[in-house]
Amino acid sequence: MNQNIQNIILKIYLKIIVVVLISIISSDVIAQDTLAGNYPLLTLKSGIHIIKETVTVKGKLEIQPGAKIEMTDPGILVCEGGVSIKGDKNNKIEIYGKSKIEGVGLVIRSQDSSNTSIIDISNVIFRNLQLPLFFDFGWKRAGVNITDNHFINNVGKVSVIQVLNPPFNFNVDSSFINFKIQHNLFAANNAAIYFEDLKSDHINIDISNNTFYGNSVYGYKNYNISTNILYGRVDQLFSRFTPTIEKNSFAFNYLIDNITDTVVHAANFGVYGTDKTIGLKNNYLGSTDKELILKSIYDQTINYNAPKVEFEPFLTLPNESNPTHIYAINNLDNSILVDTLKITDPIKGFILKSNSNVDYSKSALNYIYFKDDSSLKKIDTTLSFDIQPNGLETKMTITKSVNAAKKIGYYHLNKAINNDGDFVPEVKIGYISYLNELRRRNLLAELLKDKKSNDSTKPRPPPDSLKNIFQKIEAPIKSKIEVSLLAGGSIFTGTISNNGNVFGNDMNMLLGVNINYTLFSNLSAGLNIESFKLSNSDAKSNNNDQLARGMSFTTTMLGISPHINYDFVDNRLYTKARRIRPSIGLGLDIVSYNPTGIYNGTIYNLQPLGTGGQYSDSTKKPYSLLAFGYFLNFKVKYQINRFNSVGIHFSFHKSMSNYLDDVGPDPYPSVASILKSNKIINKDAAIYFSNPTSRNVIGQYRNNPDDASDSYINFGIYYSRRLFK
Amino acid sequence: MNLRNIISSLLIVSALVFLAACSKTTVTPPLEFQKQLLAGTGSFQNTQHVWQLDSTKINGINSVLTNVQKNYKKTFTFDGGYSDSDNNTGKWEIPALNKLKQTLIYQLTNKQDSTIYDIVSINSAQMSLSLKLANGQTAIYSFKISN
Repeated sequence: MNQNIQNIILKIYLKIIVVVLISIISSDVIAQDTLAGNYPLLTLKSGIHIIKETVTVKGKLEIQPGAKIEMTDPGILVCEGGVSIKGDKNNKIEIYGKSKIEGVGLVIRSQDSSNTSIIDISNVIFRNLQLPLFFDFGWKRAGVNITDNHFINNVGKVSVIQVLNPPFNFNVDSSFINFKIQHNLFAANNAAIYFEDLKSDHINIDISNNTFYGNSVYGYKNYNISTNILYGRVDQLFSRFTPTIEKNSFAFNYLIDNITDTVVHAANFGVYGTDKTIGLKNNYLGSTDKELILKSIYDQTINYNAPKVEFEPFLTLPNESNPTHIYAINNLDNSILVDTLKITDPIKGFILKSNSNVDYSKSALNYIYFKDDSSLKKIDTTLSFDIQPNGLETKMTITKSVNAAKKIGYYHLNKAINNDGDFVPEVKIGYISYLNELRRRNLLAELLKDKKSNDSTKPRPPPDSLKNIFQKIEAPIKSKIEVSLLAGGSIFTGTISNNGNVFGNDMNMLLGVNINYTLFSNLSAGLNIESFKLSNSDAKSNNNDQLARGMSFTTTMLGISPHINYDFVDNRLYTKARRIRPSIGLGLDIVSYNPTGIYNGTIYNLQPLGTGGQYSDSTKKPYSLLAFGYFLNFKVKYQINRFNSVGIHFSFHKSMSNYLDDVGPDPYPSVASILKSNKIINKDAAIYFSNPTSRNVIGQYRNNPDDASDSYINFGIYYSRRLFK
Repeated sequence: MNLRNIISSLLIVSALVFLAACSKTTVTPPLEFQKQLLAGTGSFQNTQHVWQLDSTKINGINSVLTNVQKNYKKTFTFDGGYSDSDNNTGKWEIPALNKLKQTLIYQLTNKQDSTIYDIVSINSAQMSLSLKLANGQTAIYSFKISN
C-alpha cells in the first residue's frame, strides 16, 4: 500500500517537473517579440525582437538600449516618423540579419507630419543586413544624427547607407536637414555609402571622424564612380550646402569583381556631377603616398567630366578619436608590408599600427593556406604570438611556426578590441593574393566539373559502383593508344641477393617500350617489351650461408609482359587540376634469359655446364631458358598536355623459374660426376660454378628447396605519348 | 609543383638511376684467379683450401702411395700462409702464372727451404704440380680438394 502511494507521489512529482520545464522553455520563446504589420508608434525595449516581414511605424519609433532586433528576409522596418534608436556605450542596440536569410534593414520614408522629428541613431550595431539604412526618395525629417554606430559585415551589395533626395517641392522651403554621420565604424561591408546629392540645397551633410575599413564594394572589373566606399553626385545647381567630409579614415577598401571575387582596385571615394571640385581634405586616405591615394579616388583624374577631388592636405595618420582600427601593417623591420603580398612562406611577425590603443590579449591569429597545389582544400592553423606594444605600434612576433609547403595563404587577426571593449576590425594579410589563388582553383574545379558533366551523357551510377570504373569510352580506337619509352634500372632479389637491403644488390640498366590501350574509364591494358640485365653475387649478401656459397651470375633478360592497370584518375579527363595520375596493375611475364658467369677471365653460359648436376644425373634435365612469371606494378604519370606525359614506374616481378641466377634447389653435384659427364664440354668451369668456394658440401643443396623462387624489381622513368587524336 | 620542377626531378632521378645502373663487371686477372683457386678468396669460410695428395707420377710412371702419403695434405691460406700434414709451416706465393713457390720450415730439421712447382693444372677441385727432382727426374703430384 505504501509502495503504491510512493509511486503516485513520484509520478505527480515528475509531471510537475515536466510542466515547469515546458513553461520555462516556452516562456523563453514567448520573450521573443515578433513584430508584424503597422504600428502608430512603436517602442522596443531591451530584449529580442524578430522581424520577418514589412513592419511599418507611422509615428515615432523608439528602440531602447539592450534591444536586439533580428531581421529575417524579407523583414524590413519602415519608419515614417521620428526615429530614436539610442543605445548606451556599454549597452548597445543590435540590429542584425539572421545568417543565410538576412533581412533588409531600416527604411526612412515619407515626410513626418510634425516636421520636427529627427532621426537619431547612436550606439547601434548594424550587422549582417542587406541594406541597413535607406533614406527613400521623398523623405524628410528635421535632422539626422547617425553617430557612434558600427556597420559591420553587412552582406548586401547595394548600399550600407543610401540617402536619396528629399521631395522636389522642398526647394521652396528654406529649411534644411542637418545630416550628420559621425564617429561610425564601417567595416567588412559589401557595399558603399551613397548620397544621391552630396551637395544640396536641402541637406547639409557632415561626414566626419568615421572609420571606413576593410570594406569590399562589389562591382565589375571597371573602376567607376559607384565602386567606392563613399560616393555621390556634386552638381553646381541647387547646391547651397557643401558637404563636410573630414577627419575620416579610409583604409583597405577595395572594389571586388562580382564574377571572380578578386580584388580589382582600391576604392575610397567616387564623385560625379557638374561641379568642378569637392573637398575631401584632412582625411586619412590609406597611405601617405599621394600617387597611391589618387588610385583610390574616382574623379577628374580618371574621368574628365567628373569634379576634381581636393584631398590635400591629407592626414598622414588617422585621427585618434575615430573608431579604433589598425591602419597600417609593416614588416618586423618596419618596412611596408604591401597589401598585394603573396605569402607562400610563413612570416615571423609584423608591426601593427593603430589610431588608438588596441587590446590584443583576446585576439586570435590564424594562418589559412591551401593544402595542396590545385584543390580547394584549406588548412586553418591558429598561431601563438608575442605582443610588444610601443605606443600605438604593436610588434606581433609569431611564436608557432607553420609548415605551409610553399602553398599560398593569408593571416587573419580577429577578436581584437579597444580599451572600451569595442570591436576592432579584423586584419587580413596577404588576402588579395589568396583571393587570386582561390579564383584560379575555383576555375580549375569548375572546369573539371564541366568536363565531367559534358562527358556524362548517360546518368552515372553511384560513385562506389564497379560500373563506374568500367564505363565505356566513346572514342576512336586509335585515340586510346598510348606509346611509352621506359628507362631505369633492375635489381635481382632472388636466390643470389641481399634480402635485407634491396639497394645493396647490383643495379643494372633497363630499357623498354610500352604500348597501352585504354579499355574503360579507369582501366587500361598494355604490353611491355623490356630488355635489361640482372646480376648479383653472394658476396653482397648479409647471410653467412650465402657468403660461404660464393656464387654470382649475370643474365640478360628480354621480356614481353602483358598487363592490366587500374587508373585512379578517369582516363577520359584531361584537366590541369588532375595532372598527376597514379595507377596500379598486374601482369604476366614471358622472359628469355641466359645466366652466365666468369671463370678464369672467360664468360661461360651456365646452363650448358649443368652446375646443378643436370648433366651428371640421368634423372635430371637442363632448365629452360624461357620462363614465365607475374608482376605487380605501380606508376605515377604526370600529364604534360593532352598528348604527352612523363612518369615513374615501379614493378615487382616473380619468376616461375628458379634458375634465373642458375642456382636452383639442387644438391651440389660431386666433382666425380661432373668429370664423368660427356655432355659437359668445359669441366673445369662446371666444377667451379657448381661450387665456387670449394666447400665441403656433401649432402647439401645449392639453394633452399623451400624458398627457391627468383624475383626482381624494375623501376625508372618513362615518357609516353598518345599518337592519335 | 610546376612542369619545370617535375621534369628537373625526373632528369635527376634518371641520371641517378643510370649512374647506379652502369655498374661494371670486374674480371679477375688469371694470376689472381689462380691464387683464389689455390687458397680461396678470403671471403667468409673461404679463407683457405686444403689439398690432399691423390697420386704421384715420376717420369710419367705412377707411384704407389703409402697410406701416410695418401693422407698428406697441404693447406694454403688466402693471405699466403702454408702448412701441411707433416706439421711444416711456411709461406706460398704465385709469382708468375703457373709457378707456385713454397717457402717452408721443416718441422724436423727446422731448416728453411723454398721450392718452386710448376702448376700443370688447377681447378676448384683438382690440382697437379710438377717438380724437377734433384736426380733429374720429373715428379707430378696430383691433389684433390679436401676442405
